[in-house]
Amino acid sequence: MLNRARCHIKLPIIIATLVFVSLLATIYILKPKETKSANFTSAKATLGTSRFSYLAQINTGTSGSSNITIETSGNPDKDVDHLFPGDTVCFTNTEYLGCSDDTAYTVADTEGVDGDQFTISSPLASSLGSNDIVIATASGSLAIAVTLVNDVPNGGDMLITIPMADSVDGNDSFPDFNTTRATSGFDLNSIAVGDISVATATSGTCVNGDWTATETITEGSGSTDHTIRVDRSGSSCEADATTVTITIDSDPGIINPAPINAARTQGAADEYTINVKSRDNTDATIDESDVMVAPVEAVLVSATVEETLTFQVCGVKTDLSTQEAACFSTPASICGEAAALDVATYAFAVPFGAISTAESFLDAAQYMEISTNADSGYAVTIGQSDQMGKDGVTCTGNPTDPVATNCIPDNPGDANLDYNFSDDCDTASVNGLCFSQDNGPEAGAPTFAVKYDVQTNECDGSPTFCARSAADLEAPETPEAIISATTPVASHDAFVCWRLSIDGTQPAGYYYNKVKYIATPVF
Amino acid sequence: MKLNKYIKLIALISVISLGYVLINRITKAQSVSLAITPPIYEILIAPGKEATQSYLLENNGNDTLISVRLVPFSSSDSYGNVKLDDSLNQEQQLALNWFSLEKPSIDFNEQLSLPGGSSIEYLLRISPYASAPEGDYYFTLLFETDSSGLGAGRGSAVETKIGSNILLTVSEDGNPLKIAKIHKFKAPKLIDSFGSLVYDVEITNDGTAFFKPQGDITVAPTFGGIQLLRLTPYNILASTKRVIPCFTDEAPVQCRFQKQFLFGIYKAKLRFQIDDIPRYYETETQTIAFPFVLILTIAIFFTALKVIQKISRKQKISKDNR
Repeated sequence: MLNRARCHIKLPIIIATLVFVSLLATIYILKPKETKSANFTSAKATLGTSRFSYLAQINTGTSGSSNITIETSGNPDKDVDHLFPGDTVCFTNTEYLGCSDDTAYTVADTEGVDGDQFTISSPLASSLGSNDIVIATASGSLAIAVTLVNDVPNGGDMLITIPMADSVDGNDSFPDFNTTRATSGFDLNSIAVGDISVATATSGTCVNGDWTATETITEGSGSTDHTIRVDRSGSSCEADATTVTITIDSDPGIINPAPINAARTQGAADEYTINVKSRDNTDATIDESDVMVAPVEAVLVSATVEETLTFQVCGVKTDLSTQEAACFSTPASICGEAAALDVATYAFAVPFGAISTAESFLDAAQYMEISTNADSGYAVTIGQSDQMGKDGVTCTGNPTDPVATNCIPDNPGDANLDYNFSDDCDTASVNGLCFSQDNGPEAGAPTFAVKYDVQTNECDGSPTFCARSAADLEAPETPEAIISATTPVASHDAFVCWRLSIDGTQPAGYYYNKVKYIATPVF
Repeated sequence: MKLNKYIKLIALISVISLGYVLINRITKAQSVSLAITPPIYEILIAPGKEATQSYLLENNGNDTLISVRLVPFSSSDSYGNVKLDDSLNQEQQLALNWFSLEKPSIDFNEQLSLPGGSSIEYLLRISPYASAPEGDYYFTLLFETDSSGLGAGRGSAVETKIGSNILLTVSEDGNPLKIAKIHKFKAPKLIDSFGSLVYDVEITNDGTAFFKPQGDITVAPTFGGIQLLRLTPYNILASTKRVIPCFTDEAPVQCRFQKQFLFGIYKAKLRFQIDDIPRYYETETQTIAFPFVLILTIAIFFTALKVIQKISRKQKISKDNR
């Protein structure tokens, strides 16, 4: 009886409990748990270039002229302080219909601090209107990296909101601006899906390939901002120290705004807020953060480097080493002479000394090095006051008879060796003075007029001493370039190899002349 | 007697001193290393006006004697090299009088001692007379070392000189006559597709003042994008011509269309102006690029293939006949 009564009491309780639990379960199923929203553990945005775009109004710019003057009020840029040599500028009208004459120009120079003029490296093809504007876009990459607090479910996404200037075309590849930071913003510059990439670093499970490669890029409307949405498809992304980095690459890159068109302090950054959030499949926010980017005027660091021409001449010892300290490192050979030279030289002299053996070559060398940052390069010429005369006697013209003239004539080589024509100077019985050249130890490669082992003019196929003579200023002959270059050079060097043999009948005496090396820039 | 002794002693000391001095003038290990800034100076000046230009000469070698002088120069070739010429014509002789050294207070050709590791500033004043004829005057300011006291022994004494070019235009109104002529704008008419399309540009200065050409070569191919080859703004002296290369990254380079494979018609237009004068000089040329070598290779290949096939067929027939 008692048991039956107990049973009667228990049943409704059980049923009521079951109904309650079912109700709770139904409520739970019908109304899913609200997503917990939080800030990302960390969030940052990095601009590839933090420089403002440049935008100023033209005052004057005449066809054929390279000088441009800008207006100094009423525009984002009111001077040329943040326009730099090398910047590419586009002149356009306020309709922003491409660059004038479809031409972009390069800034050659600006008129310093608070100036209102700049020059371009080539003249304007047509005159500019006074309402035209000059633009130098600063575009680059944008990387946004966030560390998740909560998982991003399959079907969720990452949404980035980039500020766009109000009431403009925010995707016309021209920099935008407005009167306040809140209403100014970035131009999308026609970035496409292929310009965006996603990278994932995680301690848990978050397959990077499940971030959809076809991101949704939505240009702002003029009252709304730009958005980029990266969908999650295939699996969820576990928030286990997971950092997701979304990068817009630099080609073409988004375009930074010009400075706001209002009173502002140059050098102070304009801060723009980029919002980034993770969302679930109902677009409910999971994690969210605002990150700041701050374009600012660039700073021109400048110094004037003067053009200089430097020329050094050194002597060479018989063991091929430098006569003067720290002039050049000893090479393995000079003009094919690996063992030793016969005569040591100095910067000021090639002293062949007392010559007792006729019909035999005496070899000597000098070293020269030249540097210049002049645009057109340099040339080193060589000339001699006269051919070598006994006690300085004048060797008129081009003497050939050593006895009659008391001169050691220039060596004619195989026949036609001259100051402007190469020939072999390799037969000791053919007498006189000649010179050739060899590379120096430096890496530079000057243009040689003659090299001992390179066939030029009438030298043999594989010459052992292809040579020339120095121009005889008494003749008169014009000094010829022996090394030259047409570009700025750091260290061009060369050995000048002197070779002398005398005839057996050469009258005894003291023979000399003066050799002149002249280094001049190319004009 | 005593006096004689003193005289002999003084004479002996004098001889020893002289000998010492002479011996020490014989060449020792001395390097010559000179640097001049700037290496070129371009100036346009009105007669009766005055300008000064500072030059810094550095001696990075040993102590030396230095002198400076002005030497007229002319263009020695079409590449901007100078030809120094000591023989002055009447105009150059006159123009030399317009130059003077304001600093240091020495005359041209006068020597001064420049210790090793030191530098000296030369301030050159240029003041053409009010009656100075208009025109261009080209000089090199030549700094010369002196080796005359250094015995070369039997051989050659060596003098080292370093120069800085002065391009001087004298003009009353600042607008000297500048006329250019395109001497050469050349490219191959026909080229293989694997060849390189190079443009030769040579410009003549038919005016009375030097100038720099400012412009480019626009190459428009049948297929692909237009390329702009910028001319190097080299100086072209009056009454001379100069080969003008192109330039990229601030360095002169061959004017070459940058493409590995060429095909079709390449229309090239040379267009430049003189300095900032808005008058353009233009000329055009065109090149046809075709893969001759490739076609020839293919033709040879197929001909050879056919010949081989023919031979092997013949061999087969003769084998079968046997």
